[in-house]
Amino acid sequence: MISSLDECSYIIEYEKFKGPINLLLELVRKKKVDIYEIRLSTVIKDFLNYIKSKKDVLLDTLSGFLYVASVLLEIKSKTILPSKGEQEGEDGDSDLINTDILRRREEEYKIYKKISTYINELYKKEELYFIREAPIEENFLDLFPDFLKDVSIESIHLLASKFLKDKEDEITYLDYIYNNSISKTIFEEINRVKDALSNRDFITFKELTKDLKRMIDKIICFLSILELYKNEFIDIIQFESFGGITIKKFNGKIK
Amino acid sequence: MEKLSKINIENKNKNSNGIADISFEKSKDWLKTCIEGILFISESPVKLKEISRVLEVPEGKVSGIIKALEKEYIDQNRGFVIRKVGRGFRLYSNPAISDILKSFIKSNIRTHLSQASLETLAIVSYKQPVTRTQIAEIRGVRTNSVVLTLIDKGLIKEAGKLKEPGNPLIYKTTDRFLELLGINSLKDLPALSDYDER
Repeated sequence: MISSLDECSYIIEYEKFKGPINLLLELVRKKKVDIYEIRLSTVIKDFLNYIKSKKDVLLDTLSGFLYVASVLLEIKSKTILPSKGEQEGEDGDSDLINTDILRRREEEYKIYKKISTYINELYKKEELYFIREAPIEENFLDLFPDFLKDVSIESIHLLASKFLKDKEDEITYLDYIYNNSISKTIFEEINRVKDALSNRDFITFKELTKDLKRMIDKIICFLSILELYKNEFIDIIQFESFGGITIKKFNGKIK
Repeated sequence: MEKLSKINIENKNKNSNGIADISFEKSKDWLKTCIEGILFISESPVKLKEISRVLEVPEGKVSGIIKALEKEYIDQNRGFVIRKVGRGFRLYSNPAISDILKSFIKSNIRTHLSQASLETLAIVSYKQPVTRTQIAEIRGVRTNSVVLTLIDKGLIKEAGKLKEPGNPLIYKTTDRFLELLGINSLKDLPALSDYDER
């Protein structure tokens, strides 16, 4: 039987399985592949398309496929519709079909189906209960930063036209990382900020970053300021959300 | 308005105790007022632990007062009820008047759950933490999109990965699921054996 199957050279390509169909049968027989997972209708449809596209299909390929496909169909139909009692098939495939497991599965599914009805009843019953519709109370609204501060129709228009114009300069995230070697470390930046504060008490973030063109350098500068703040070298003053940041020497001097 | 309520509280205090100068604060009535207020303003179920922490009284006492309030509302046919859902307490409108209240509800965001969603929820709630494959095994069909929908709706969530080959994701139900079913914990669901007819 197997030798004739070897002639079947058609390769099934399916997300769950790839290989000749007789290998699929072997795996199903050895319980390495769950027949449940294999959509035989797709396998057969693909094969029909295959023989339509090829004129010179070997008769052996055709008959081999037909034989194995029908065996698989028989196995699958038996697993889907387990008949109680005798399970003896002529070619000994019955040992594949563990009716106990199938029956248990079917009954398990029935139980969950009933539970799903119960869950739906609970869910429907909840429609009778309403909760208070509670928006944020007004005195808490002030705690939100005003995300639309300084935004006008004109500013949106300007931004949009700028973005549309700069489309060719578009950078992708990965390119950005790989093409921008980081020029300095946070420690170097900390020293630069310290130097800038050596002969004055205040400096604004804007001043500190005015010569920095690249976003990454500005970020490094910002991180260095956070680090200095953490180590109590500086104090940070910001009067409003998104407002300018002023850096002040802590206690008037740098330790 | 503020004055008025204060006077009311003082009067009530005098009436119930007969003594004018006893401090209302920390008395049982005061705690009851506080708990009622907390439940009134809260947008999600409030846990016993939180109330007990804020009011600095043992959880047992808070629980007792909530039970008393619950009974009071029912006995007096009030427009709202207290329910223990999603591991916390919450005020709900009285279901007896839901038809009337419907016209005052601005947004009813409850969405229909499909049969596939309900079955998947049933399986997850009893078998959690559970993998997609395990769900599919019981339902006999693939469930990926259903699982994603349920995650979107906040009814189930990822709960780590199984320590076996492939490391499949495992899922469990959320507190929101309990809330939407009006139950306090998974223990409130009937036992699996109740449904087994064998």
